[in-house]
Amino acid sequence: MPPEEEVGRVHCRLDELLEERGMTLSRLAELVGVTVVNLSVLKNDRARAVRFSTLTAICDALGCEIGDLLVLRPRA
Amino acid sequence: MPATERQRFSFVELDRTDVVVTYVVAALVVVGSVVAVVRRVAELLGAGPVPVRVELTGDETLRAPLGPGGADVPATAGSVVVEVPHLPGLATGVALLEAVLVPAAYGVTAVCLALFCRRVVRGAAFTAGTTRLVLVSCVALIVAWLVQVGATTAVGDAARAALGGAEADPGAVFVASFPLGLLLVAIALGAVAGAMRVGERVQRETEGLV
Repeated sequence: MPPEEEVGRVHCRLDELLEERGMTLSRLAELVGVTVVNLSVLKNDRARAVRFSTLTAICDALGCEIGDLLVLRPRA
Repeated sequence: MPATERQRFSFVELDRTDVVVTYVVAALVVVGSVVAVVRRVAELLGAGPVPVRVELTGDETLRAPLGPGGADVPATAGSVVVEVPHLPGLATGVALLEAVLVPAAYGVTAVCLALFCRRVVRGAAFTAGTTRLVLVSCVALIVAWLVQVGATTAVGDAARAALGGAEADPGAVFVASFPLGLLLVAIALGAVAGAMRVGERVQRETEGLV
């Protein structure tokens, strides 16, 4: 498994993407079929791993690429 | 299942009543163990003759009062308890070790299994502490098994010698007295501990998975 600090560098831009599209987290949860709790985990950068199926469903729902959703923060 | 909060698995559906029952059983085992230790130590260190269980090979023929009107009939027995007027010092030491360690191992196992049930109910099944409880039970039973096998043979031989009887074939006595049940339970607990280690790893790897 990768070190903890490396996992923590991945930032999820779900908040920004939702705001741009005027969509709520609950609505996205309905569209994607993932619980609000899990999406909240993802949104707040507390996730340590994401399934390809979840990524695909979120990107389909938001009409974005995976690179738009996840970005890598520079090392501190 | 929430992902980042510590994922908790309960592979056995237990409730508080079940846990209370395990506490009661554990308490009974502990009390029984303490009583057994006190009684056996008193027997070994007391002034009177010492009762000693002697394993038989199955070749010896005994007479049991099971016939009509209590008449003796030929019988074979796996072991007999004989009273030895004076047990040698080393044999007494080994018997004391057995008297203390074996019930203590049963007590430790019962307490560990009760704590194991409590942790499972609380949803902390696959954690290092829970695995340790199973491992401690396993080791305690293996120690009890080794002590029991060694002490039964050694003290039995000493009793035979003290009574002036013929020496038995040690190999045959060892095979006759082999307590397989205890060893099998220890092996089963070892397997459970192994499975729980795998569960711990799987849980660790899936924490935070969305």
